[in-house]
Amino acid sequence: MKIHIEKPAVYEAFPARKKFYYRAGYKAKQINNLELAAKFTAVYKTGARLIQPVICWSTIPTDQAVNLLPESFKGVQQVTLFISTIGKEIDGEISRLYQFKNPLDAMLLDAWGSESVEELNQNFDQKLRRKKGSGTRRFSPGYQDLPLAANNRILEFLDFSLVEASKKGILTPAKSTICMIGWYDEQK
Amino acid sequence: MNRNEFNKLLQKRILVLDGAYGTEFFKMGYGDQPGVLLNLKHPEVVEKLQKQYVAAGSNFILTNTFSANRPKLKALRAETKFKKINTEAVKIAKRAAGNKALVLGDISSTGEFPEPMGSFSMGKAVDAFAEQAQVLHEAGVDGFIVETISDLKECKAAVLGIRKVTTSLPLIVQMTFAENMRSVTGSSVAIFASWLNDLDVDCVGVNCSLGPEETLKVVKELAVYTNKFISVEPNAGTPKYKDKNLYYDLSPADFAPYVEEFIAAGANIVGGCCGTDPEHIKVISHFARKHKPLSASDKILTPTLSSRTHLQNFLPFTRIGEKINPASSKKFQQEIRNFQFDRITSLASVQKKAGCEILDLNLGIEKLLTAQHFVNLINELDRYSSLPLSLDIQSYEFLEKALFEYTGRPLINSARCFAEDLDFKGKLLKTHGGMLILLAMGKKIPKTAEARVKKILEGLDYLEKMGISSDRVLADPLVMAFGAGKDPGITLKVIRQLNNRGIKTTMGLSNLSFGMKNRDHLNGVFLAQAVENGLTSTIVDPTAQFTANSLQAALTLRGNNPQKAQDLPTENTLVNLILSGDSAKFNQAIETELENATPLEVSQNILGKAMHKIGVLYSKNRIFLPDLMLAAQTAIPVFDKLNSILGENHESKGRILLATVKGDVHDIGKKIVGTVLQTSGYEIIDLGKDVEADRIYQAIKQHRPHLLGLSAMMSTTVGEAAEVVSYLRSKGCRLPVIAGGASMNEEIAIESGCAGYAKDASKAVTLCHQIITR
Repeated sequence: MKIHIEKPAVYEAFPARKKFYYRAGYKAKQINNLELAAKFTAVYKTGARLIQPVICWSTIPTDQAVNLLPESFKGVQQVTLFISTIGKEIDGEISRLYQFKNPLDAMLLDAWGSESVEELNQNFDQKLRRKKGSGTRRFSPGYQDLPLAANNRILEFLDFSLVEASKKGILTPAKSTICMIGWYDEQK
Repeated sequence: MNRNEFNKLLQKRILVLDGAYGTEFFKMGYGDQPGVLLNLKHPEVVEKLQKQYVAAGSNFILTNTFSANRPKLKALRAETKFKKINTEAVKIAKRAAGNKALVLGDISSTGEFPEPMGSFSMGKAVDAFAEQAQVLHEAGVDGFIVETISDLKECKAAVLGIRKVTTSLPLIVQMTFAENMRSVTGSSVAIFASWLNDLDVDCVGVNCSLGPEETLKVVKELAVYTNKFISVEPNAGTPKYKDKNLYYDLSPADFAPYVEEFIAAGANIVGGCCGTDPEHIKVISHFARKHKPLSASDKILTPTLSSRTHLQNFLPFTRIGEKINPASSKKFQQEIRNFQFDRITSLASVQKKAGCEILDLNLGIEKLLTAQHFVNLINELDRYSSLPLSLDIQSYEFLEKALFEYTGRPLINSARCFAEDLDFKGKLLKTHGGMLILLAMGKKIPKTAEARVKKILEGLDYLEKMGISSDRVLADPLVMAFGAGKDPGITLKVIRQLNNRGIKTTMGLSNLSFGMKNRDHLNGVFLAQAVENGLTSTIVDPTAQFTANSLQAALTLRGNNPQKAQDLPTENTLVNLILSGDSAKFNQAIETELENATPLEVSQNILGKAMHKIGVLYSKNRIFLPDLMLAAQTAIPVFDKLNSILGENHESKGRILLATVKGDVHDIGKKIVGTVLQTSGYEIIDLGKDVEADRIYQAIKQHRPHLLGLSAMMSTTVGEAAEVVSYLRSKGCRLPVIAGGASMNEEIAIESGCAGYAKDASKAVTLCHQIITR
């Protein structure tokens, strides 16, 4: 089994502003309050400066992934397991902002980080599908019949030290995810 | 790529330009030579950079020809290599682009503004741009980009020059604006955009000078006024200088949040200017792929007319001043024939104060004049920061010449509705932009209202087929002399019928009362009736009080608050006199002052303070660069006169040596600073441009100045300021140095060992005063 560690360009984890606004609870396309707009921009820059995106992944036959897959993956021949993170710096900054009583910035940065890791996943997801075809939907432990604690097994399986999980499967750094995509036809 | 394909592509996708060249060459260790020479000496360096941009996602790369027009190369002493530099640049770019990107011929300033802001004739400027465009076109570029232009007239020269060579290639035109949304010579973003709508260009935009945050404001303003595609290339923040290295501190991560903002504001093409590199372009490309251009809406643009510095919304009502017309004065006619335009500039000023928005220019005696009269007059009014002009010129030759020189969106007064006249005026409108007054007549004047309306509709239809939309046309219903038995009711009926069809109207009001008594009253009452019937503009004597009051009342009743006359920037009479450029009255005022005060007191306490106030008005954006230069031009002869009276007793505030640093051939800004310093009482010694450190040192030994002012416009030469200071200090010279120029800033100036940084001419005066009196 070959495990790959990739360090994508930081801009691959730069989220669309609209998604960032939405995640932060702002449902309009444009922010008309100039002060607030400036705040969003400043937070975007902070996030963009802090992240260090890394993805650890491996594509394996499903029979090697016992206890790691949900029922819905029945019938797939191969699965790509991947762990993605934008690093721990952003967690530290969010804590610091809360500590210094700047909850708005902290909340915005938290939203930005969530969208950032999602952007990272989406770009990696698309890259995989360009090579391997359509596959299943991207799936993460904590849904359907695969408990969150399965994160621990996948982390151990991929032997990736930059991300850790609690017993219940909560990941650290917080802006990290564990995902999988199943492939029906490896030749595709 | 033809223009049609280019336009279709821009409707579908956000496209990406490349990033900086100068700052990248600097980083690559080639900052010691003009970037354009690398096309011959180190083509591999240029190609390497361009390949990096293509790999980063640029859809367009620019030829390395920013300073490769003939005047610039002459200044760089490389004129003989003009053709080779440009041809090689295209070859290199095409190799780098392969089939992954398109190559745009890059064209920028000649380093000299066209008259009246500079010394270059408009014809020469157009020829210089055409010459470069010709070589680039023959070498096979896919389109052109005009960029980093800071003077609207030079922008026009570039467009005319390129379009002389080809009309089949796409053309992007970008200007540079400061944070106050004005170009160096005072044109606003709105003036630039609304005028360029008329010209044969595909995309308008902004680049350089500002970082993305400030540039975003410019893009938003552009989007309000343009119906073209929009391009944007901000700098990576403001430049910094440390350890002999120039750098911009806005990283790709800092740049990122603005890319989508540009797209959301309406940008179709995004790239980077000074300080951006392939990493920035990767970020831009990342976002460009994720967005579609804003859907092309049928934007309804407000009809505007403009001069270099004034933008006038045409609606709801516009007054066109008729006073620049020497028909009734032989003396006035003779003055014009003698190229004496003082009375015209004075009438322009009077009408502006009386509340006019546009000035009609009707010299009448055209048979006694030459094209040069019109060239000089248009430039003279431009120098005086005139209101937009209505060009009432009968001779086709003179009209074309006047339009060629004109800066802004003019009104052509007028065309009659028959093919020959419409063909000619339509062609002028397409080449130079602007609006047209269309007379409700062919070769004869129709007698009935219905026939006049029909004529207008035929004329509009003809123009529409030529590509001139009806929103660029004002219909003139024709006002005939009441004293000759003509029925003014016909005119009112035409206005009403045209207004019902949404057609804008204007009329020559004074014809009504020709040869009659009480003209002001007749005109005033008729104008009120015409407004009631929907008139949207009139050519009028704005100083006729009854007419002015009637108009105001009629507009109020119609629900349109008449526009107020533009406020004078200050209540200080002397300041206003200097700003008006009225040398005769200003001289008279100074003579009066001299009756009560000594020449020294007048020079220092009265004139000096007035000039200081003008500097403050400029720094607060209450007046613009042309106003400042006009004020300087008005004041300098008086200063000289006072100094000659004072003779040996004349005390200069100090002697200042100015120079543009080695490798930099731009000195427009430095000349402006020199002129303004001179009016503030300083003695100026200007060493010119591209000046070696040792020459500066020798000049210091010779002239013993109190201060040295250095100018550096290019990001690649900004480091020379440090070299000069270091050289002077090594020679034991402790003379204080200040620095300015487009790429300079406070931090770099201080880092370079300078005592201060002068953002503009006004700041230079303050800084010199602080340092010299310290």
